[in-house]
Amino acid sequence: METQPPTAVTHAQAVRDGRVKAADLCRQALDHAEALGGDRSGFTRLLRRRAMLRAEAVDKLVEAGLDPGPLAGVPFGAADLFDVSGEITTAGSGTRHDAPFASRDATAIRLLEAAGAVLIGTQNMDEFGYGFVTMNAHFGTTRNPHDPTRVAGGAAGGSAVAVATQVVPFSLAFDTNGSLRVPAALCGVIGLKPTYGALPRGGCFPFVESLDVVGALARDLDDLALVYAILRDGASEREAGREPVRFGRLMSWFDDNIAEEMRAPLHAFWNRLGRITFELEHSEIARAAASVIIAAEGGSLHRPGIEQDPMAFEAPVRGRMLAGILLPSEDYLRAQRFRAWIQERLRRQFELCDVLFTPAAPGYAPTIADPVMLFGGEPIPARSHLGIYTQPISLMGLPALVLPLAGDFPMPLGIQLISAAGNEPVLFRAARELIDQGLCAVPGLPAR
Amino acid sequence: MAETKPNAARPTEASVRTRLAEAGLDVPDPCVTETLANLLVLQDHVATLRAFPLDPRSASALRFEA
Repeated sequence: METQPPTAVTHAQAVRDGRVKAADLCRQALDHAEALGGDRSGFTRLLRRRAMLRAEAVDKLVEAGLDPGPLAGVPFGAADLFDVSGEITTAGSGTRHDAPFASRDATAIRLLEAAGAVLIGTQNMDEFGYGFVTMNAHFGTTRNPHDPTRVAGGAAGGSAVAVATQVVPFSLAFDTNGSLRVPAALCGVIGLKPTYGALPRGGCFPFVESLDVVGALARDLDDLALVYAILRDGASEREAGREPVRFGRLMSWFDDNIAEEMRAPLHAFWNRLGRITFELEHSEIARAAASVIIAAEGGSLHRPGIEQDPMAFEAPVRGRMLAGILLPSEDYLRAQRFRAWIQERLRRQFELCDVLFTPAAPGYAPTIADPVMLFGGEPIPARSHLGIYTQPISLMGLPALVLPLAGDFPMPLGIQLISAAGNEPVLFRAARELIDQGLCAVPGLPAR
Repeated sequence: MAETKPNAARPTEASVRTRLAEAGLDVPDPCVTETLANLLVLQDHVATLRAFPLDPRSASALRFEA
């Protein structure tokens, strides 16, 4: 029988009780990351000195009889687009090697460390968030922990891998168009993309301001719920409710292009939940609008860098930015208008159903050697298409939670749960139900 | 009266080179090819968007609250 690894909650309780030293937890996490190496730990930079000082401070609070907080001594990592005081925020780009040091920590990091957590390092991502594979020309390729010949997913692949390999119980990440949901699905961990605007983005390097949200990844649902509550910083939240959660499967766009290995498990999952289906109208248009907004905002944001030295960017990234710069403003405004329009229509979407579900990614992680997937029966680059089921949800601003399907699969398969805006509590309740029913579970790693 | 055509003319390397120059961007040749490939994808997305008959007065392009 597999032994469950300690969670953030159990780690913190042990530190608060004085049974475990935060400094020991921190050292173990750093040593684990170093032993795995950057491509397998997900980390591109370890902050050993800062982390050990912080962990020792937590231990001193405990020794003084004070409470360091609900995440006392829990090590965590953050995607390298969150500012860390005294460090360069690279956002996964070699173009930022000479950028100024951050003068303070990002708001999300400050909130987590105020609750006792200890940041141990920053994690790999696709350059400036452009991509679903975390194959980074500047910082290397992050490998899938279930099969190192396969991609981790992206853009926040390093954050998912760090959790899957148990280097840290949770990672702070971001989601623009599926950036944390896709790697959560491919690496077999739990990921939360909150409602647009729900969590503070202060000190985050922007990707697409119209879509960017701060989120988190974890192996344990209660850990994720705790991190989310801390990041909300006391903001009021909807009551979770007690009625059974009403599930529905999204069809049409979300039923096309599903890989063979996903279809039967998804069908079985749907059978267990009552075979209810719904349509989320205009999803294809939502995906198109998201793509237009990303290109236009990305092009505008990075134009100074492109003008200075376009060849310093990865080829797929600069091509997309340059195309975005050439996009007529009328098309960008049309996309924004559609976004506001569909958001208004969505108010009625959840009258008959609490949680909609879709695949989080089409199937297993593609290989690093040949990172393609099938779309319309044709092989296309996974880098730009793995988020086909996450992109429309981003445009709509809805919260989503990714969970691994339970089962003896060669590679993880992820389900995306979606709720009404601001109703993250029902997502957590639904996820708990699915785990308790044995329909979803975080898989262990294959024995080496 | 002007009419919106969802399927505009496909860009070419020559037209992309001209548009980049008009936008004040002087980039090496490989960038032109990469830009063209991305513009072709974007053009499909734009065509999908333009085909949806959304009245410009029915929603604001400058406000969004999820």
